[in-house]
Amino acid sequence: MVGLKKALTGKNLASGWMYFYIHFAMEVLCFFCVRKQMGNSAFFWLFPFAYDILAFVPQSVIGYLNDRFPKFNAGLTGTVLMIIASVMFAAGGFPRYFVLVILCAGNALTHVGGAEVTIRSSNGRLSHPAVFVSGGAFGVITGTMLAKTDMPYWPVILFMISAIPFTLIAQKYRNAGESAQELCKAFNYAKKGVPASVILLVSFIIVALRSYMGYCLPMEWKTTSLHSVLLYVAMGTGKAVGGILADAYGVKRIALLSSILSLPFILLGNKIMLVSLIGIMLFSMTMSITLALNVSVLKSAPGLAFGYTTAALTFGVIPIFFVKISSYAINSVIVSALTVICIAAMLATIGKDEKING
Amino acid sequence: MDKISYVMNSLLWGQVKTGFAVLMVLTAVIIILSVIFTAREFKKAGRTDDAQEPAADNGGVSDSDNTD
Repeated sequence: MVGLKKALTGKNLASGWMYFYIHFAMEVLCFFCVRKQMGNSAFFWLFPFAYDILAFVPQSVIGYLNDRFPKFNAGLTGTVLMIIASVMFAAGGFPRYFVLVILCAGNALTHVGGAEVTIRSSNGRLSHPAVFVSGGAFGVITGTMLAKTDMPYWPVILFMISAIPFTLIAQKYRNAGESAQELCKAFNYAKKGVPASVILLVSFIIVALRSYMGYCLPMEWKTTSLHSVLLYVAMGTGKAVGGILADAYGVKRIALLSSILSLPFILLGNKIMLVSLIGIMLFSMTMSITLALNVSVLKSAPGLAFGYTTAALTFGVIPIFFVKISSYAINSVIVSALTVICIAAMLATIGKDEKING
Repeated sequence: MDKISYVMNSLLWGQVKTGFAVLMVLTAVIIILSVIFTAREFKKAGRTDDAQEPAADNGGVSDSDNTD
């Protein structure tokens, strides 16, 4: 815990904001491309499914490789790959799954680059990766909305190009010359005495369950595009605020409080937008906490630790491609039960809150 | 009938099942590789599965030690 003022003005927090912008631009581009390509064809099922698998699951292996070769600028390489893929989509005539693989490789590399830079520069704080991660929610909804218009590809591609200077500057924060073990030594959020493999497994389960829960949240109020925008704004804000509050008031305290408080707001907010948005913001706050848990037991490989969380996110989404439950009662039971499981899992794995070196 | 049910109940499912299988195999390979890499990292850190390394000594650092 470092206090709210220090959490908001933390050393090297600029790395988080730079990758917030890169992440935002990246998701705008990716969701614009994927939504445009889906259209109304038979590809609409497999295309987003393939995107989720190809972009998010390989991040653990890419992260591990980037841990081994820290001077490699994954963010820049990924950004360039995404630009190439979007130009190919815009030009047309290329096999669309081939282009999708390039787009996803770029997405995965840039995610890993963001994780490496923000974790290695944070000195054990969560606000840096939390700010980076939050940019994605804003980008997803912006890209989705833009894809519904007649806008051509080039303005979105230009927007992605504008992120290139940030990938170069942010790399300076990575401290590539120093060992990850040394840079991540202040990440000590796992409960002492719990085997590292158990921490990783439980963290994986928490992320997967919460990812699945995200699609079960009852939201009858969400009927317009503006409502969707507000939903993603609440999600993005919650992710960033969760990391900042965890630094200020303690990881365990924020993880438990946000999980417990989110439940009544989510259930009672089925038809009341403001109440629901508060619940969703609280619900999103644990994002960086599970990442910090992973890094705590994999200090020498922060990229690999990050990759576990993105793989878990994908695992949580997979059932949604097959079954979607629309009953308020059933969803309420699922959300309540899974929240209890996640809280128990967090109690079992997150260590006591201590001061961290700012 | 929603879009998902439409795909699942129609011939379109036949068109996507190969792609689905390929993606699942890829996922399995990546997860196995991740577990191997993790085990290697644990081993390198001198950490066995049931002996997590003690927390680093940063608990005594006060706010006044911050450099920012």
